[in-house]
Amino acid sequence: MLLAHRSPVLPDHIAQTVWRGNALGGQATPVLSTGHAALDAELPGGGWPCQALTEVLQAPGVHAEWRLLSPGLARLVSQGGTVLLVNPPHSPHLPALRREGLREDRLVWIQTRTPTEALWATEQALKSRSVSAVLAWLPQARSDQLRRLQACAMHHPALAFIFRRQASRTEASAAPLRLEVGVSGYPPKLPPPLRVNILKRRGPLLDRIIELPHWPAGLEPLIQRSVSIKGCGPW
Amino acid sequence: MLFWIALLPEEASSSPDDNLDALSLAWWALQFTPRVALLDEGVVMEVHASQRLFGGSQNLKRLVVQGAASLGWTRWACGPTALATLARARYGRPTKGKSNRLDELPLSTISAVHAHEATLSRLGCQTLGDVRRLPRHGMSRRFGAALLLALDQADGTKPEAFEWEQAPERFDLRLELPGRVDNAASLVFAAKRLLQPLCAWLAGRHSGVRALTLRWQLDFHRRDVAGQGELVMRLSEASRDINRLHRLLAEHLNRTTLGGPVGDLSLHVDKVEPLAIDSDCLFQEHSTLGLGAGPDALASPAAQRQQRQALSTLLDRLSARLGKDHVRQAVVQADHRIEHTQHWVAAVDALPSSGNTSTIPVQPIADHPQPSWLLPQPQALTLGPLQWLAGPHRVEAGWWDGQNVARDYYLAHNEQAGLLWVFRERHVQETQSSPLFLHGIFS
Repeated sequence: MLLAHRSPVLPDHIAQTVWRGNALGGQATPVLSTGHAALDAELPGGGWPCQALTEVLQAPGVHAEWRLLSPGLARLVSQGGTVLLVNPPHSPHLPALRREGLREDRLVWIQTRTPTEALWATEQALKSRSVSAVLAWLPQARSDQLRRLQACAMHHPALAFIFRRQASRTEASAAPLRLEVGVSGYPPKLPPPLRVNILKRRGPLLDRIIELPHWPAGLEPLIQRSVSIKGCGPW
Repeated sequence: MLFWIALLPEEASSSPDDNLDALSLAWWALQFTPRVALLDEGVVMEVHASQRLFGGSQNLKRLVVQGAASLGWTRWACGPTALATLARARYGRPTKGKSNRLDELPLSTISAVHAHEATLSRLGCQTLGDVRRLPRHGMSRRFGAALLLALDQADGTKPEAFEWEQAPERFDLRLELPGRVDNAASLVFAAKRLLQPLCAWLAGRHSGVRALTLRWQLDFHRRDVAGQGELVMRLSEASRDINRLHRLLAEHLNRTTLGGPVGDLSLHVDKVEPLAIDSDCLFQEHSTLGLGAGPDALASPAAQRQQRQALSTLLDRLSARLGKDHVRQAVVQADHRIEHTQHWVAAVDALPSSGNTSTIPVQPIADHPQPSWLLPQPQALTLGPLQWLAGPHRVEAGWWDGQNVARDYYLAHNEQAGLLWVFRERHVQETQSSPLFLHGIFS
């Protein structure tokens, strides 16, 4: 009798803090839309998490960074934000990034000599609270170093991305969101869509791969035309 | 009616080295009024004409007093004449009755009276009021005209004349160290004593420093080693924040070797720029740096300026530790050769106008698709099978500067690596064809 009177619904202030494992976690920190609707739908809160690390894993030789990030970053840059690159794998090509909406005067490239310096620079950038997005390529970072960066990122008001190798997908990581990104997959498609596999998120495991039909500006009509006219025979 | 403020350093300071000297404080006070003078151990300033600019006498008084207190000058008073104001600042306690009466202050508060304190006290005088009640004729004969003049000036019945302080055009300050210093990192504390006057000087000139040089003289040195050394520090943005300058200088000094024991340090300013002061805003602003967290997070100019300052502090710090050329920003140039379309420069030397170009619309440079990663040197292609998607895109340019290129660019697709920007050289011998080079990646 007593039990029947007890309401199964939790009070509001408690219900907000309880996360049920079968639901997609709500994000306590602000989020920023990724610019890809299909990806937003699967991320907790509906976008890139602010005040947290986001880990992006890529196979060697695969580069999909700008395709994944540029729609979200372009919005930050248009608001006056700055993007900091720590040890990018190659030189960013600014005319192309400008077409995506990333202005060159909002981009700072930091090249360090040692991995320790890269970690230090990333940590300083996160602590200074003045950079809208920190993009750091840290292939050699250990899990305790990532945990330290995650602790710094909790005070960083905007986005932070760590790029690592695909081989470290089995290692423990403190980042609350981990993605595996590639361009190849089955069935092969041309032009190749971006294939995102969410390894870790606040929510149930996602057992499918999200395909994002997003290409660099001006490329898609070119490819479509060449595919339709000539087919795609080997060179 | 004149409005004087007198400032005195903290009494019996625990660490006198931390306080600013009087001349530097006078430079600092020049930001409020040009009428600043040194009077005995204190600084007096006449701010009557500046009251309106700083939002009224109360506001101005608060600004001056709080600013001076942060520099270690905590004792202050204000009043209608310089001598009376200084006397009250020396007395330290509020006086009873009307504010401009000096009668109850002790003899030691005015220097000219203090000189004859022993004689006057034997005459039975305990306060300035007692001195004033003595017959003027006799006083003038017994103690000289200076005592009477000082009393009259303090009362405002005779005019006061001062030589106003002026900040020097160039900042150049030398400091002799108390002992020899072997280690550059230990110079950090000594350098702070040079930075304090520098910041005071900059404040008086409403400017910030962009570049400064710290020089040191070696105490004794071998014949083949230079007798002095120097460190040039550049900032990405003008600043007069002492904490920021000190941290940055420490970062530079930690990477410096002196070459011998140093006994003498000097600081020169190479480049000074006017610094905008924060204007008050009409509406309340977000006090936190909510960068990109909301669409209107950076709407206010003050928040933007705050962010820019934090960013340039970060870039200075990174440049100091990693080396100037490892922190880069780029300028885009119009060129058909893809490797010449951008030019990377050290962020510290980059154009200072990074904040106010936001109104310029973003215009694409070329209309054909361009790769977003660029390999610094084209690499011979070693990847597996390629699919030809578009091309050739012929680039033939650069005969005028000796870096001639003649290439056919193609857009290719590789199953693993995605979309690539590859090229073939055109000028090769008839019998053989050029190998393919990878130049960019469409990421």
